[in-house]
Amino acid sequence: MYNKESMVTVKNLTKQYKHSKEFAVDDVSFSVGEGEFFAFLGPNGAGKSTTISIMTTTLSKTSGEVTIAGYDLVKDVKQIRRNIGIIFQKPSLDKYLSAEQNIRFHACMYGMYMYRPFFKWMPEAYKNRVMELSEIMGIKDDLWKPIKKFSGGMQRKLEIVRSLIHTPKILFLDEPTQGLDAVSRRALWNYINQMRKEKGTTVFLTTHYIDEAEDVDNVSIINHGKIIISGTPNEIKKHLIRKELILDAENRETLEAELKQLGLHPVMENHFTVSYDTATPMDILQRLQTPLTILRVNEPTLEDAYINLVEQKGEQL
Amino acid sequence: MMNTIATTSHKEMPKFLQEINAALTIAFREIINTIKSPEKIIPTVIMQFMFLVFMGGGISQNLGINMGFNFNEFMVVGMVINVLFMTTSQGITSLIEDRENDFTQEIFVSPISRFSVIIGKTIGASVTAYIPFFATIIMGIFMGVSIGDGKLLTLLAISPLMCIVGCSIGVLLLGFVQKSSTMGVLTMMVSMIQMFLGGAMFPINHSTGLISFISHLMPLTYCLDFTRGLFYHGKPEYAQIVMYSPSFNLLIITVFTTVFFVVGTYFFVRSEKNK
Repeated sequence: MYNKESMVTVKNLTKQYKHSKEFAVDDVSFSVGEGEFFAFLGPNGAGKSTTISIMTTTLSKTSGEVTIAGYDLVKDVKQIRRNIGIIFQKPSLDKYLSAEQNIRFHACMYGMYMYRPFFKWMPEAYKNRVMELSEIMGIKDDLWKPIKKFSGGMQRKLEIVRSLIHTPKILFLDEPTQGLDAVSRRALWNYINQMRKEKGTTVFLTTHYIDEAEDVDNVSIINHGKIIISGTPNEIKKHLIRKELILDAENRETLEAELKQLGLHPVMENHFTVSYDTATPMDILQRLQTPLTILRVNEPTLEDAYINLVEQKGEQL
Repeated sequence: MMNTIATTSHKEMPKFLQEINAALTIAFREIINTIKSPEKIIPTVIMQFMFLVFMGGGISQNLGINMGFNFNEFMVVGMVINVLFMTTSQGITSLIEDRENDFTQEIFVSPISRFSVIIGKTIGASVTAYIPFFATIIMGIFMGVSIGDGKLLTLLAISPLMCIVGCSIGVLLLGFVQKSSTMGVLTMMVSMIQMFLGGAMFPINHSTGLISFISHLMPLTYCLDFTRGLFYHGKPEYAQIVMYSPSFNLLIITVFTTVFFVVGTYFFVRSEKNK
C-alpha cells in the first residue's frame, strides 16, 4: 500500500547526449507515489540508467520537468540529494579505504555525523547502524578489510549498506542485485520491504531480474528512450499475455471437438494449448468429458510479458 | 524474522558546518589514500632527490661558484616550493582517477557544494604534500644548506599559500582534461616547464625573449620570487636574486589562483553533468 501523493514526478523528460543524434530519453513522463515500489524495466541501452542519473542529479537533462520529494531538479539540487539514496549500476567504492571507511565517508558527506578519523571515535548511533546493516547483508566480519580484497558480490553488499545508512526517503536502485548470490538477494529484498513498511520509503528500481519486479506496485517498460507500457504487473501481464491451459488426452479427436464446442480454439503443438481470458480453468475443466492425460495451467509471469513485449518490438534481450 | 529497523538519531547540522565537515571528510580520505598507497608519493621524493643531488649538485659544483650567492640554498628553497606545487596539483587531478573509478558518482550525489569538494581535495593534497616537502628539506640539510634562523619557519608559514596555488593549477587542468592518461602527461609537463622556467633550480633574472615571456605566465615564478623575497629579506644577495616586491608577487598570485579556481571548478562541474 502506498500514498498516491507523488514523490517522483517526471514530465516530458528528454536527454540527448553530446555528439549523439538520437535521444537517449525521449519525452518520458511518469510519477511515483510516496511509499510506492516502482520498477523501470527495459533492455540494455533503453534509457533506464540515463533517467536515473538525471533524477539523482548527476546528469543534466535536455528538457522536461522533474521533481523529487517535492523539490525541483534544477532549483533544489541539494534538497533532492539529502532525500535520496542510490545504489549505482557500476560500483563506486574507494578501493584504498576499508569497507567501514567507505560507509563513514558517505555518512559524513551527508552531514549525519562529524568526521572522526577512527571508527571507535564515531558516535554510538553510527556504530550501531553500521553493525545492524552489515549484519543483515552478511559483511559484518569484513568491515575492516580493504575493498581490494572484496569480491564483486561483497562490494555490492557494501554499496547497499552505504546507500541505506542515511535512511533515505527515496531509494534509487540501479541493478542492485547484479552479482549477488540468492541468499543475499533475498536478504536485501526482505530488508527493503521492511524499510518500506516501517519507514514508508519509496523505491525506484531498475533490474534485469524481471522476477524481482513481480511484486512491485507499478512498472514502466522503456525502450529506445520511450515508455512503451505502464501499469501494475498484473495489468501488464493481462495486456500482453494470454493465460493458457495445456491439455492432452489419449483420444485427442474427442478432446479437440469438445474444446471447439466450448468456443475455444485449441492449438496443437506437442499438446493442445487453449487460451482463456474470461473463463477460469475450473469452468473449462468441469465441462470436459474426455479423460485427460495432461493438464497444466500457464499463469504468465511479468518476465513472459516483458519478453513478449520486447520481442514484439523486434529487440534482442 | 528481522528486528525492527533502527532509527538514525542525528541532529541535522547547520549548512556551513556540513560543508566544512564534508571538506574535512574528503581531505581525510586523501590522507588515508596516501598513507595506504605510498607508491603515489615515493616517485615524487625520488625525483626531487635526482634533481637536487644529481642535476643541482652538478650545476652547483660547475657553475654555482660564479653566481655570487649560495647556489645550493637558492636551489633548495626553489625545489621545496616546487615540490609543494607539483604534489598538490597532482593530488587535485586525482579527481579524474576518481571519475574513471566511478567514485565521483558517490561524491557528486552528496548534498554538498562542488566548492567543498574542491576545498576538501585542496586540504588533503596540501597535507600530503608535506611529506616530499620535509624530505626535500632533509636533502637540503645533507647538501649543507642551513635552515636555522627562522628560515624553516618562513618556509612553513608560506607553504599553505603555495599549496593553494598549486591546487588551483590542478583545478584548472581538471576543467579541461577528461582522461587520467592525458592528465598524467599534462601535469608532468606543466610541472617540468614551471620548474625550469619558473626559477626553481636556477635564476631567471636574465632570461629574455620567449623564455622570459613564458616564465612570466607561470604562477610558480611569482611564488618563488615571493618566497625568496621573504627568505633573503635584509641580506646582501636580495637584489641579485629577487625580481619583484612581495606585494606585487602576492597580487599576481592572488589573481592567478582566483581565476584558476573559478574557471577550473566551473568547467569541471559542467563536464561532469553535461555529457
